[in-house]
Amino acid sequence: MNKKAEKEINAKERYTTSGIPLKIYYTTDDLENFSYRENLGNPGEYPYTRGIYPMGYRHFAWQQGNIMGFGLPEDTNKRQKYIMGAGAQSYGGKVGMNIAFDNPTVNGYDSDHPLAKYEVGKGGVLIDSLEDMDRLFDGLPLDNMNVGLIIDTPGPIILAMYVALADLRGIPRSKLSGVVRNNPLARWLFSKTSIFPPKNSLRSMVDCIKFCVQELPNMNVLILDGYDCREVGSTAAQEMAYPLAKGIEVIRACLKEGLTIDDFAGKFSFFLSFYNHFFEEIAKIRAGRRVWAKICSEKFGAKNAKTGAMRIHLQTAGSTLTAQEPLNNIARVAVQALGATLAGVQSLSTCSYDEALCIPSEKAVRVAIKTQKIIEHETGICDVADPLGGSYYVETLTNEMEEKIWKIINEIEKRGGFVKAMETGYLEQELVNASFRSQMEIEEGKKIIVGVNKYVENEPIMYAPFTYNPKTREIAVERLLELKRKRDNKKVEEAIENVKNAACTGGSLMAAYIEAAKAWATLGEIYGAVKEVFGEYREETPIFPRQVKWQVGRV
Amino acid sequence: MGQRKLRVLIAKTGFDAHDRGAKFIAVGLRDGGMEVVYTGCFQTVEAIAGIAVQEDVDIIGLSILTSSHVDVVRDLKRFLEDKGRGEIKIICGGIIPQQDVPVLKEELGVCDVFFPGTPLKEVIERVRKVGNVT
Repeated sequence: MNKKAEKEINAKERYTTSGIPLKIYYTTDDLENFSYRENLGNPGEYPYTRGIYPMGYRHFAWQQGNIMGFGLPEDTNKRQKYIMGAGAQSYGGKVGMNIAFDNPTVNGYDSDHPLAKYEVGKGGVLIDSLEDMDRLFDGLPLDNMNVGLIIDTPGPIILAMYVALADLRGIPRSKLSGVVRNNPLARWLFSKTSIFPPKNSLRSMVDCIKFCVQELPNMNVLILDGYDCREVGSTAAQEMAYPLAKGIEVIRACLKEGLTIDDFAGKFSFFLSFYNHFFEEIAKIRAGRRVWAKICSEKFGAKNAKTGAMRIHLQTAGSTLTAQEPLNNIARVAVQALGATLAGVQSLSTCSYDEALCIPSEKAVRVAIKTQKIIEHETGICDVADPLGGSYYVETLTNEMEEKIWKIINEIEKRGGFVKAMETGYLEQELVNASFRSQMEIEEGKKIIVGVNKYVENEPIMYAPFTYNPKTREIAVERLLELKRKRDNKKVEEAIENVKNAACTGGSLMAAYIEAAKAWATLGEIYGAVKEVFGEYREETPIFPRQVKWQVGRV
Repeated sequence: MGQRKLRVLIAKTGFDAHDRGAKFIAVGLRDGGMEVVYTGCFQTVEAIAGIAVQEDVDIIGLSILTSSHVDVVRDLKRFLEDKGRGEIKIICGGIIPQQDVPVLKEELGVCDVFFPGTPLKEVIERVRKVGNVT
């Protein structure tokens, strides 16, 4: 190829996933009307572009929030102790535990339900009752822990079981710290698992938020998630805009209930992804912080500037991992983790190299934890806050991402807000179109994935899959039978009636859940009771991409 | 004279709702000249067998990411045979370890297993082969 042609190809336009064109280099001209005070602020100062803490990572490094969970509660308990041994820890030396629940639990079903037949204990831990919670947290200090209850629609019920466990162990509720995901609307859009009709979903969310504001001052009440959005195939701007738009909707619902924004919005946190395009991802995070700060303070008039400080838990993007040549994933995750810490996240979950294929093996999860420790202790990242601040490229890209994000939020607001946009299928259509577009880029070789469509080794995909205990379901079912035999079933009946009453009359659902948990009602029984009153939201017809003409880079 | 189009059912079982791949394949096969029926999520295996019979499909494509492939295929075959349609072909995709492929193919008669990253063009060719269509 001659030099001229080569130069032409290299000078071809380049774009980020959100469609932002990239110059060959950036200068002061690109930041002509840029104001340090207004657009950036120092780290820890409104609008938090440079991070939410003035000390950066000098005080506390980010927490190792590697999500995990599988099998019986005692299996997960064992894996938790293993990763603690490998160095995983939460803020201030607390125990951090980020728990994934199995599909039946996530949908509010017990392990003995026929629909759960193939999935008990797969992809997450099973929890059927307060007894299982006791096993899950065996030997772990509930009063010195940051727990992540990563579960949405039945999330409040799981939280109620956690509170009930603390009550039984004599631990004051004020010492309980962590987060409950509590985001049924996310479930609908990104994973099609069970939710209540949108109005009742909001009701369920707000009930839990209210309870936490009153009873659990150190528990965060909601995770607004972009990660799942991204995994479905969205662009970076969509990944940031959707949870922000959802946040607006939930704020409105809470304000209607008589809460003031400074009571609760500071207890929201965000769950984001770190994908391939290194600088777009960093810009996305910095821009997102700025937008959320403006939403809380300017749109909703928060009096305390800290209310709009976006706390971020980030997981390196699972869908960038390849089944081919799994060891390559270590490099991918390291780069993504580095980017996330440069962007200043509070909590980081690094994927394991075999995670494209199975639940992480012990060996692989250890590498994932050590990756974080290497970044923390060997790179000097923790010495200076927001090291990329002031880069012509990064600041310009941050500004352009902010514009894109606002555009999407305003489009959603124009359609009546997140819930209405969800109900009309608009949001899903956008996601499906974006997902299709990104897959076609891979198919057409426009997006290169090393080992998959370029630099391919012709080796079979061999790995030692995670071995599930085949008796998991059997044991769980037996335990349920035993539980139902031992307990006072009349008390359970009354407690379930109370749950239904609370749902009908607008009373406190959380209080009813806690009483039911203490009476040894199962998750399925409690969730079933609420579902009876609230109903279930089902997809009418699946949404497919229309025949959208896609072009690389233009959105 | 056109050949009868190949009819394919794309299905997901139980609570496994990660449908990004399944939807992509469904549209890809349709664009590749087949008639595709998509079951959506939350289907029991029995329901999938029922839909397959009702829609008179040639092939059932199962998308499974929850390690339940062997059990699901075994039960699906049983339900199909009960309905007298044991000849409907089964193919699988998703997350399936290489170790389980012999069990699926030799013991349970699965016609093809697709690993992640298989290019769409190849998927279409291989599905046509399963359906004995050129």
